[in-house]
Amino acid sequence: MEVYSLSFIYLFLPVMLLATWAVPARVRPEILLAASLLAYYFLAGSNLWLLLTILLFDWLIAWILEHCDRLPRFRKVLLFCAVAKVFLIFLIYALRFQRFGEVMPVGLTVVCVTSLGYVIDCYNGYALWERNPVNLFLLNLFFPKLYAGPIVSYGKELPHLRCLNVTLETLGKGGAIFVCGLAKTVIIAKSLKGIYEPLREIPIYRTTVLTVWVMVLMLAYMVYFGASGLCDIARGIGAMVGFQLPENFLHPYRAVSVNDFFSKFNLTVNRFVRRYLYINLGGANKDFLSNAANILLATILMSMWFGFRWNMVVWGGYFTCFLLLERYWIHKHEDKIPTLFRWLYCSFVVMISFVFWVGETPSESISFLQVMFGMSRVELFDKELLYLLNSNWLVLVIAPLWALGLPNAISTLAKRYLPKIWEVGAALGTGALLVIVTAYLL
Amino acid sequence: MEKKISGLVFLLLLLAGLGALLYDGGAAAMRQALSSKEPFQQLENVVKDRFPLSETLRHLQVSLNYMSGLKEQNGVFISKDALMLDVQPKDQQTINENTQAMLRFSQAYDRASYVMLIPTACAVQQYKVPYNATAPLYNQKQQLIDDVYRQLSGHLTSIDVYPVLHNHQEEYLYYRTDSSPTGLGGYYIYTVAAQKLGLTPRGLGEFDVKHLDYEYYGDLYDLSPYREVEPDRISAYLFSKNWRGYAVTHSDKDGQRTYYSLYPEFRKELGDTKDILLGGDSPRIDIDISNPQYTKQLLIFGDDSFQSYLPFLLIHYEKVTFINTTKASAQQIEALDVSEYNQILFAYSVDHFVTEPVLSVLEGLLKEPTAS
Repeated sequence: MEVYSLSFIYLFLPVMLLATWAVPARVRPEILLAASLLAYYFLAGSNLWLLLTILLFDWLIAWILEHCDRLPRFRKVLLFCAVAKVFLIFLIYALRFQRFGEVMPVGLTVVCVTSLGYVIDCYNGYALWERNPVNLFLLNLFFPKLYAGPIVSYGKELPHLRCLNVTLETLGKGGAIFVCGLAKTVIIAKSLKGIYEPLREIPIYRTTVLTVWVMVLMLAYMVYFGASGLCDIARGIGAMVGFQLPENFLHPYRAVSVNDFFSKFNLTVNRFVRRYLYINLGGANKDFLSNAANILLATILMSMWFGFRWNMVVWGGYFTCFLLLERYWIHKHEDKIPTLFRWLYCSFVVMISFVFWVGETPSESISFLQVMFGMSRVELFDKELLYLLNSNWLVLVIAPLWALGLPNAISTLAKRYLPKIWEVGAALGTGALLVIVTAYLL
Repeated sequence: MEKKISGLVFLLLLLAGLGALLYDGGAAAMRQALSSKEPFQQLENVVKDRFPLSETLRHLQVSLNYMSGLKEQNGVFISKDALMLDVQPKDQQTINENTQAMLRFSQAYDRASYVMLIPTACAVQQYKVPYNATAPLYNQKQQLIDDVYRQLSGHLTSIDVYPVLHNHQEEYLYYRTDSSPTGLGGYYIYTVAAQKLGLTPRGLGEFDVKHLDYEYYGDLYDLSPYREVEPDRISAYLFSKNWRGYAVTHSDKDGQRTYYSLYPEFRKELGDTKDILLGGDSPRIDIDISNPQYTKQLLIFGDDSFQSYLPFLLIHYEKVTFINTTKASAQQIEALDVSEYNQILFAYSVDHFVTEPVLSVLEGLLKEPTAS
């Protein structure tokens, strides 16, 4: 049962909301954890036991860490065990993917990373061992965020779980975010997929220059709408039950530098890598080579979030070059460059990077790059491309405008100048969008 | 306040959905789904089936997609006034297998054999296809029909109905909501087929037309229910010049049933208006015609397009047997005695011919060919 299925929206969700509302606030975490376990079991069956084992392991590690603060070496061994466990799991699944094409169970990455963050916080003394495992397990296993995050931090988000307020306001706020997330995932991302997939199926010798450009752009927007839609679904459901989850995408395609892009794209994961790895390695305060190595390692880890492929390593390496360029060169001239040009530069760099997502191997991506820049003898465009563009003109207009934040700008203006109309309009808009999403799910 | 109203609207919608799904046996259906082998897939299917206003919501989805530029949905082109199946070949192997099967059959049975591939609406009425200048249409005439006829040349007589349909493309040749030719389309197909079969085609004026239904929605409408497309008219064509008695015997998994009319109108009450035409579509249909003038027997291997042209062809024969090879099983046709027939016609709509092994069921008849 997916979070964007009718059975979830119209059966599971209302029952979960009613159950959460019906019980006193102190019991709500238990209800939500039970709902999350049930929903995950419906989705991924026996993989639930794997997730529970990981959490139990980390919970025990945290308990031991708290009780042996006079044994620094032993504490280091414990931390090493927790980190090694995550690497071992990722390695096993990377090999299984390479060998059998078997993908990682839903939520495994999110749970491993969140739970590891908790252990590291306990090790560093930023967090205490959580006596009540329900809160910790719920923080990790809260069902809707298992798809794509956001990654939560124990210190920041746990206090919310201790006072889960459920009111019509939280329901309204959460409902609006949830429905927007559904629209992004079910309508926009799916429509973009409908353009991307036929283009991707065209063999490279039969493709055209513009076909590859459109294909890369479609993938870039598809990734954004798919991932941010799932995060919005998670944030929306969280908000409905009083659990505030952080934003994970802040209009990344509005970024004016690659550094800015990483602070807006999948930002909770990037924050995690910076906090637990990059800063511990010394950040960017050393010599050029050390800084470059740190940035490279951090960027590759951020990119590996999206899959264990050589192309993702290249994707990380590609961005490292631009991050270094910005840090050591562009940074000095930043003020002299108009924002529009900086945005154009960043958009160009980011869009080109998605060539490494499109290609299965680095060599295939290079072939696509050659086509994009006219280094292959192919046509500029063909009828098939025109047909696809014609057939999807509206989504091609809506996707970039939405990604650039136009709906937010409109709602801000409406709220300021037409508050009364906005009140009714927002409520009706949420309802209407839910009906449209439902139509697309049938 | 705004959030409260939003919250209330959202909650009401969710609860209305939940209530409607559980109402009237919904809970029992869901319990049953959850006890099946694929519980959550089944549950989702139950929810989709029972969802309130699901028809209206599907119309909404198709209309929104259409407005957004998507004029081909679920493999169906949506033009201003018609739905048309987008025909794309599955693979060349399927086409080769079908062609070779006809060749082998005609060689095994020394009978006058004919082949007729009927182009679909998107090939004949190309001007109706949305974005037709760029739409990746399969060229049915050049890429398939001409090629297959060339391969069978010298073994089977080809019946090329494309030119006549193309010449009348502005007329009501294909249903607006169904993938089959209309009665009128069937008449034009008949005029060409009759000449090739050595018959003299009758004029359209010699047939009485009776309109059976003006509100018919066909299979393409089920796939893409676009509201702006008008429903179809189903018409019956009956030869009026000389009286003929018909016995139409359908054989299917439920046994045999015989109608003494080409258009048993009570069939409408049982479901589809199209089932009135020759009593519907069955794996095997035997039609005996009391007709002192003609003594020929015709065997047709075909698909569901037969309802368009067969009512016209019938008038020239004493007996016609139609085998729908897309539906028939080997057991259903094993009793077929090919030697009883003077002529054999392979008649397929292009969409079936390029996507299915439509003649694989005839392999059983090739094992022990009947010497004539």
